[in-house]
Amino acid sequence: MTVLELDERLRALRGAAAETAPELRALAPALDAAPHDLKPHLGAAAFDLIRRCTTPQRFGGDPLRVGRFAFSAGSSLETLVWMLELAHGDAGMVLAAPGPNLAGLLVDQLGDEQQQEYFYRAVADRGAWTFFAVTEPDRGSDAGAMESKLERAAPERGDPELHLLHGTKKYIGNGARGALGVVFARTGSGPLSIRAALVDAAAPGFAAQELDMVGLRGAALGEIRFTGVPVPQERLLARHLPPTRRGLWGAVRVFNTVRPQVAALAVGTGLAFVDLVRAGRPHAPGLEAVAGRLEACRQLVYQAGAALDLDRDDGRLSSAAKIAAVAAAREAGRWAVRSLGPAALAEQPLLEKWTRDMGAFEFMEGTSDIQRLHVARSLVRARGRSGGRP
Amino acid sequence: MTGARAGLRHYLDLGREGGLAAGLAAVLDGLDPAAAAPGAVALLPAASAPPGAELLTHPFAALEGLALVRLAAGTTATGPGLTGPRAAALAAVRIGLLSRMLDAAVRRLEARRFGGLPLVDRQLVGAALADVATEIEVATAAAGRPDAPAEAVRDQHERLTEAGWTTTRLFGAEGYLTDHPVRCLHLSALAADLWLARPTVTEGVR
Repeated sequence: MTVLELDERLRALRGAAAETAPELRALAPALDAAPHDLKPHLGAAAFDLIRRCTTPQRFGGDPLRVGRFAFSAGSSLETLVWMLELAHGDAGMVLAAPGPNLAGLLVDQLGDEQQQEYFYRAVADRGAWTFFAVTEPDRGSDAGAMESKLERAAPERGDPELHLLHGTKKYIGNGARGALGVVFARTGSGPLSIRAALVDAAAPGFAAQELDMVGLRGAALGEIRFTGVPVPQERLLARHLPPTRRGLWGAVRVFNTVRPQVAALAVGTGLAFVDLVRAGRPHAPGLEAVAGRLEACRQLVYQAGAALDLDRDDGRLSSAAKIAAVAAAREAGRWAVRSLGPAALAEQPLLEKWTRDMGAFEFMEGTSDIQRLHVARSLVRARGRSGGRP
Repeated sequence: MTGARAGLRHYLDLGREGGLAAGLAAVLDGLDPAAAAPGAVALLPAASAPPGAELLTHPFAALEGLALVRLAAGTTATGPGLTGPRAAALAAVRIGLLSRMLDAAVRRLEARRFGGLPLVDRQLVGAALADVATEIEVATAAAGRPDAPAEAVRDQHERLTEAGWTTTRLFGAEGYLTDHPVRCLHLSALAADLWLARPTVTEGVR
């Protein structure tokens, strides 16, 4: 395996993102104290960078320009490069930014041209946050046990293709502040009956409430209840795709794509811990070991992104990157607390905040145990394909 | 059971049944926080916060009856921190909290299914439960050891912090909300970080 060196274009993107990270760090304590009050932060330069780097040009996106390079909604590797640098400022601030986020990734996979245009223009015009609703209370992300339903409306509603959405989703990022998003639900009992729908928070029957999080409070988890929310046919995603590619296939691809992003957030947070120790105790034992482990995880995150750009279904490195990065960030956090001592928890409020934040990465897009199973299955399958040859 | 062990059992039961605030109050009984705490900020039972003291913002300490208190404006490290019997008593309180949360985790994992199977029957979940149960036994044995050096005491507390995190993971995303009781394990770690004496040796990577 060779080291993945960033080319000039990606180095320019990395540099531009790194320049905006200190502002995120400065704003982070206020966001932690009042995670649902985003008004003071909407002018952050990093939010502008995220908007430019996640909105496709064909739907009105205005690319980020760095020297002779332009960046729009792009490759996984590009996203991971800027996301890791911004998380080095503060991961909670990264997740507080308005934009297409996970919902955009699903719309890219399952939306037809008209649905993509509706979604991206709505996000851009409203400066909106979006939600991606899979998880259910007491069911987690067990798709086989999903209870939310898309039922055909009664004939007297006048539209034979109209569905009504019923159910509850919980632990949903931007759940209470999202203006629109995607929701997974069943149209029947079979494994291919799970569909994703574009849902507007202003629709009748939509109700959401904020959930108070231990850390990473910028992600603003919420609970959403759907009581007969009308979903017209043109809002059902994947209507142009075969049945096997209408539902969870898209979600799996989104999770494959997002896992290294969570790893990038973890690595950025780990590097932030290193910054605090380097500043407060430059000769702390273990500094080079912790920093070296995080840099190795950064490299793995980049390699996972490059692998996804070649094959969107190749999630092996995504899972490995998430396992390693989440553990490395936690180790960095505990090491920082031990190295800096109790006084630092008073003098550096971000140290205490980040020790809460680092727990979130474990729960996002599949726990470390779930990722271990993915890695093990990939290993066994690969050996099966190769006839056991290394 | 020796007298010291019987005393530790009292703190363990207090942590398990009364919670962190009650346990911490017992551990700190008779101490002047401003003179004893090793940093300028201490985690205290809310009821014993000095009148007029500056309370720092924390999203859920108050939900456990605790307060993050700045002890002296404009100063940094002050007191020696907890050592000896009081550090062992804090460990016992933390073991009690951990034990209670582990029981709650088992109840949840027995009731919850994924892919048709109870979560508690999954091998990786079982391994986590076994690791925490083992750590509780080791920590209980270690807490009764008299005259343990500060470095060993800190290491044992660090292991309790890791066991607490392993337990917290067993509650999934619901354990990451401030209204969930497992928040006490995060505060248990914070209490150790803020109250234990720092060892004289330089500490680094575990």
